[in-house]
Amino acid sequence: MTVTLQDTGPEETRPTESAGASSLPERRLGMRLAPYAMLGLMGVLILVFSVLRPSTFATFSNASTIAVQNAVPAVLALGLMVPLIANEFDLSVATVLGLGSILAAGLPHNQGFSAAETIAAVLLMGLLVGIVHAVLIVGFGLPSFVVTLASSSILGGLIVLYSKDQTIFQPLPAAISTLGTGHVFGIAIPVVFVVVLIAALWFILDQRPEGRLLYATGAARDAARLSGVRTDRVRAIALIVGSTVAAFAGLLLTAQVGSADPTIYSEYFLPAFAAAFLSIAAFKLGRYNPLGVAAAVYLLAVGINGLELLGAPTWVQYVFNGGALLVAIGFSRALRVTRRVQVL
Amino acid sequence: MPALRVSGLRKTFGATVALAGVDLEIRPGSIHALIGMNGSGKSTLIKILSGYHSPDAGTITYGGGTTPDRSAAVAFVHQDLGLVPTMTVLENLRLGRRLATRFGRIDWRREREPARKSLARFGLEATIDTEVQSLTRAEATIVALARALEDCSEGCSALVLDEPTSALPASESDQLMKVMRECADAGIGVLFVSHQLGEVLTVSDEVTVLRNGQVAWTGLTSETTLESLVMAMTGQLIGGERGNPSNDRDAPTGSLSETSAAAASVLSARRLSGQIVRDFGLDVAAGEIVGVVGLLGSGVMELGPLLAGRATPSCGTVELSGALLTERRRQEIGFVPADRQRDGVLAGLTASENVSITHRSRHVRRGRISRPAEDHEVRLWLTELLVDPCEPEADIATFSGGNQQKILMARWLSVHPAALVAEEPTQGVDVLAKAQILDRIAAHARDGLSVVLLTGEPEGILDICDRVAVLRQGSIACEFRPPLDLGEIVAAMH
Repeated sequence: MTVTLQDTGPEETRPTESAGASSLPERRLGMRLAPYAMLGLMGVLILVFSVLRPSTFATFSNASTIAVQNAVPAVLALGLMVPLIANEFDLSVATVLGLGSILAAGLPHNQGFSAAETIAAVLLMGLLVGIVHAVLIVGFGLPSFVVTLASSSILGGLIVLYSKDQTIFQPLPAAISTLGTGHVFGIAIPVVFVVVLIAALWFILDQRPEGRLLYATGAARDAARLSGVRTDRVRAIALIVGSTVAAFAGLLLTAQVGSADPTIYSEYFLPAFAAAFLSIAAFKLGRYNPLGVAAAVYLLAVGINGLELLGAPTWVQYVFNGGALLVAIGFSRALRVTRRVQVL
Repeated sequence: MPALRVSGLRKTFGATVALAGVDLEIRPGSIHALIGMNGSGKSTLIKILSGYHSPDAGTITYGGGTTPDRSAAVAFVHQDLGLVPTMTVLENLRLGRRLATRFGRIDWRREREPARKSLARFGLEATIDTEVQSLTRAEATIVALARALEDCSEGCSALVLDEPTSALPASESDQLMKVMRECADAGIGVLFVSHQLGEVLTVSDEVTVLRNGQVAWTGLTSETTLESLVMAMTGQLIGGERGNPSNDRDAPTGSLSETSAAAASVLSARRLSGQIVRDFGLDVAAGEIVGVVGLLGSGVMELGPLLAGRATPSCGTVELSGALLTERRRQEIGFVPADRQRDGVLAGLTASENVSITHRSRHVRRGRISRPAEDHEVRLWLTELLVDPCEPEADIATFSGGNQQKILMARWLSVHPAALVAEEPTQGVDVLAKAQILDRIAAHARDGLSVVLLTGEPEGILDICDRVAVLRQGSIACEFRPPLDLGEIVAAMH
């Protein structure tokens, strides 16, 4: 049987012998809809909560609260995703967020930093942490899991040292507050940051050759290296980007809240990982991807918000997040199995 | 009364007949060598003896058929030894056994004595407190052997060693051979699998040759020669005399690697050395396909990354078109690695992304990768290499081994390299894909690509090679030119 290739370039494409059993259009509808299952699930949740709590859940103000309140978790999860793509764990992202948040609140008052100096110092802190990680993990070949676990504890100590274990509650420079509470064209600035970050990451990861290098390095480091990818450099950059974005998330948190709590960061740890892992199950199946991360963050947020409005006690959100993390891992395993069966 | 007897053993995997009625008898006090090419059924036979596979038909008897429990009568030394490198010899000898205890603690003093005795038998008692990882490979093999003997509760009647010497440097195999002889002298029937025919001829008393799942020859070692063993293994007569195989029978130009070709050579290695590879020299002209063949341990597996500039040699150089190979120019040599899953395939990425990883900036239009342009080019390559189904958007992990290999070839051919170094190019690939891959390599060589194929199984690549170099102990032992004779080459490898 001869099958003419469906793609462009008719002059060069020769007809090939093909079983033709598994060409793309013939795949089951379910497989084609699978990338959007998470959006569907979110739709179902929104529908259910709207029916159950029409006056509190299904309001514009509740929707915008969810969007604004989850901007920081979204930024953190997007940053965490970058080293995860390179197959490096960064367990310190939440602590870097904590230190960034404390520094953003303390530096203007305690050290008399201007807004610009404060922002620069916080980002520099993230950059430095990332560089130290890169040196230890890439340079010395230590496992990222252990290195970032250790640095997380060390940074936690620095947070206590700088904050003296007290919430820092000092007036912030106006420019910083605006970052957290201002609006552009009626959209909260933190949400704008999330959108910009998603767009930037999508462009680099999905549209630029650099993204290929990152995914290839994470898929099989030796194979990527033997194909000419400078995997050491890729891993180092991924770790540095992860830490720097986490520090920025800390800055954003302080700007939003107006103060910095030295213990709050631990709350951000698990949702970030849950969202990053869940992104495997949305849009680009089998890959960490920025749109998927954003969808996962807001899926978790909608779920928890709805449960709270239904009167669920606080502990439910921890169970919900943990359950979501397990579901995410289960998904990624199942995806790997079904995709293998499908084409063969 | 044989120590171990196998009769009428049959085993099929799907449509493949691995063993088609094999009879084998190991006499007590005798060292029996089992040899055969890859795919001859050797490993299946060993796996049945160890209990990993169960046979479709046939019987195995040991110790005169008196014991039903195989592990009580047959000691087994597996190729990977099964030792824990970070534990001491004593701990390894006692691993997985019921230990004597004293007040609830392990009584090492009581455990020590029998362990010391079984080591002393082979002159290794001094190593008892040494960690296994600091032993030589031969010593570790002997420790594994001592443990296997100890595990035979009812006295060992047969000892089976699976390729015990293939990972040993030549200097160490004598030590192991002596130990095997001691076991035989103690009345044990020893069966060992080997690829080194020289060693088989010196140490064994009897030899059995498997070919295509059947016994091709069996008899006393003293009654055979290297040539007849190779003939039994390959099923082919060795053409002509084996006196000086590098003598070219066709073109009387002498050794090409040193003379005329040097000037026009595309890929040249000069005194290249690594861990096993020693002073390796090779010149590959444009359009030439050179096979480099060697057994495990000959250095053939180390040579690929060195030649392709993917590993740093301990000394020596690689030149590409007359200029030293720099890191920047490494991409001009394509490299298809032997370990496809670890070093080749980017699982989770599409076939298209797997191909274009080597030329990732080529399809960037206005700052973005143009998927249609990329898929179009990749599709052409996949079509050229007969990847079927031709689906650039599918995850590479979903393709069969043969298709994956073709995709990895496309990865390099698509950047038009000056040279291609491919390790085991047809390993784990079905017959049709194998022929197609070799055909495509030959086609690109006709267009000027210089190719080096490295393999432990010369039968797979001979058809397309312009010459074949045999690697032994890290350097080229001899060279062959067409007509290439499998028997001669296999004999030269051993």
